[in-house]
Amino acid sequence: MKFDDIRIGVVLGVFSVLVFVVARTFPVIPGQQFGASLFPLLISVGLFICSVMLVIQGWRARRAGAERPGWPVWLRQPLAVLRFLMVPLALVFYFMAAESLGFLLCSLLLLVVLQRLFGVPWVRAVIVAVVVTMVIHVAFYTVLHVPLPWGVLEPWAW
Amino acid sequence: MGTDHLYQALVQVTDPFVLGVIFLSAIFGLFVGAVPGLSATMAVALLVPITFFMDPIPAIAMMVTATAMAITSGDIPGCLLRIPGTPSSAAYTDEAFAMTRRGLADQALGASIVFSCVGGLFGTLVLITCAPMLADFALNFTSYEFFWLVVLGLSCAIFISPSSTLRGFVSLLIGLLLACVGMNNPAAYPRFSFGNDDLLNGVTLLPMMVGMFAVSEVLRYATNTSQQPVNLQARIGNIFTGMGGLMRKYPAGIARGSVLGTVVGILPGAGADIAAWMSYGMSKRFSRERQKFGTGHVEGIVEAGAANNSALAGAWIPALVFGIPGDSITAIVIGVLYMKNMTPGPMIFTNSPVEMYAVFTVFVLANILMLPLGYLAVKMAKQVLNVPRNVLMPIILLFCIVGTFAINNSTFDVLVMLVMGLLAYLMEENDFPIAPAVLGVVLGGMLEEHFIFSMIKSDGDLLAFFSRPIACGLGILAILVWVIPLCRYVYRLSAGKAASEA
Repeated sequence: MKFDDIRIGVVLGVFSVLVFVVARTFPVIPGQQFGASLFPLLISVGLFICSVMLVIQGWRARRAGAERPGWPVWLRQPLAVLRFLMVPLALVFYFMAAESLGFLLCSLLLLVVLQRLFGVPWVRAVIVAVVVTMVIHVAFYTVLHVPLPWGVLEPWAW
Repeated sequence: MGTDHLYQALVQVTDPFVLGVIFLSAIFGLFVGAVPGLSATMAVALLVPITFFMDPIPAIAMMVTATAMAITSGDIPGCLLRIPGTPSSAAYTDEAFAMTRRGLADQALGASIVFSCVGGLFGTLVLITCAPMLADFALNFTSYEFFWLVVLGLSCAIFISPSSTLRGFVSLLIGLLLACVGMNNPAAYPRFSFGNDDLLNGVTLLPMMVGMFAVSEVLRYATNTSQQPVNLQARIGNIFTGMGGLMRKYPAGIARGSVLGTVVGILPGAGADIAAWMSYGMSKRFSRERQKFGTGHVEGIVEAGAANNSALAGAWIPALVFGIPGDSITAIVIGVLYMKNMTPGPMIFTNSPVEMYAVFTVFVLANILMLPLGYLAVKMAKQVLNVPRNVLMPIILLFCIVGTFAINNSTFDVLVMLVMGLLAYLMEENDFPIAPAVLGVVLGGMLEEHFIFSMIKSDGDLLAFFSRPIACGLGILAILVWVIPLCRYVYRLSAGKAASEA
């Protein structure tokens, strides 16, 4: 996802001002003239200068007739957007469901769904999911003694 | 002390479990390197959760072996398909592919594997001899010297980075700002924590690395899932034929590549990829057959192939001795060392001598293993290159999630991983280099701590930073690093004006 330098500069500029305002409230070390605020303040000032330079650069490029980057093509393909969103969704799903469903079921489910979304045929997706889940389970749980959750499969734990 | 610790290190490294770990991580590294889009840094990032549950020596052995292999096998798709497997092979991909088109694929691959091994061994030799000496020398460094060293390191990261200095600087500042989060500052004041308990300890380093180097890659893949089936035409015979001849023909090139690679590796922020670019350029400049470059000439591959592997070992020198990572790989390594209670710094050779000798041993072992395993990897190139990306990426994502979650059972770590993955994806899409940000995060705390302690010691006197001879020298060097490019910029501006007025 490409943005032009003017937009990046403006966002960074606003961000640096926010950092500056928050950092000003940090106290100094007793008996010294500086403290927790010194570094964040310096960084925010640096970021602000950079953001101004980015805006200038972007403005010059635009005047020189540089093409403005439009929205990327993939954003117009629902499937591609879904694939992108699956990354955070998979994360949320795992830490919501890992305790109750257990590692084995979560891993199988996630692998099958993700592979199907990426266009892997059913049979291959299921075989890969089973094999990979078992390999991770053996490597982490059996060899490295990582306490992967069993969840509903607790009665059959080995 | 030496021999006794060396013996203990050898005993530990030759333990069957450790040897097995080395072998498996070698295969893993070869695979990751050979698949275009998966880099050596990503190989280490994916190993992080595993290292967490291991003893220090197998954990370090894994990272050393996997990276050495990945950098070498990155040459394979470059040579056969003109797609570099890792960024470190990009410098001579065109050259290697031109050789393949001339029917010299076996020579190109042989050269890159054999001279990777030679360069890697050279870098290791420098690491073994220089790191302990440097550590000895640095034992009486105070916060002034360390402050300047960190400043030099961060400056290097900006000025060496291939994209624009401004973008490098933005990236560095973002990294430094991330390092500010939490209570780990000299005043122990909770900064930017917004009342969140998890944020008090700051942004956790290792989940952040996994996010920046692995999750970001999955995100990028999600936006473009096309993959062309690979059909290899090249016939590959014995790749080791004629290597002795090359060794005799280009001794100067091999030496130059190894030395340059090691030096670039030592410089913070510049790793194997930049070493390869610089060394390929150098080779062309000093070659007696300059006109042959670009037409499938092996000389540049010999030199740059040695350079990128020697850079790998070189990067460990500042990482171990000062805690200043020489590249993004060692930035992750430093995180793992902290986790294993082996704090990098001049004392590391006194505090964990056996582990340090083990690092050296594994480096030698990995570089020698490269010859037979590299040969196998070339033989299996077709199968490796046709591994479907749409199967691989879900596995990588799942591994990141499960691994990061397993480390602390912390939801926060997983969130850090996700947010950093998104940030790295956006930054790379917009040509902001990642390496300076990573360096900023790793070094931000050190920079601030040494600065504040120095100021307290000197009672606010800035001149104290130049009061000790070595600190003064480092300080002047750091200032020059900044002043010289500025002067050149001003000079170019005025020269440009003069030219336009004339």
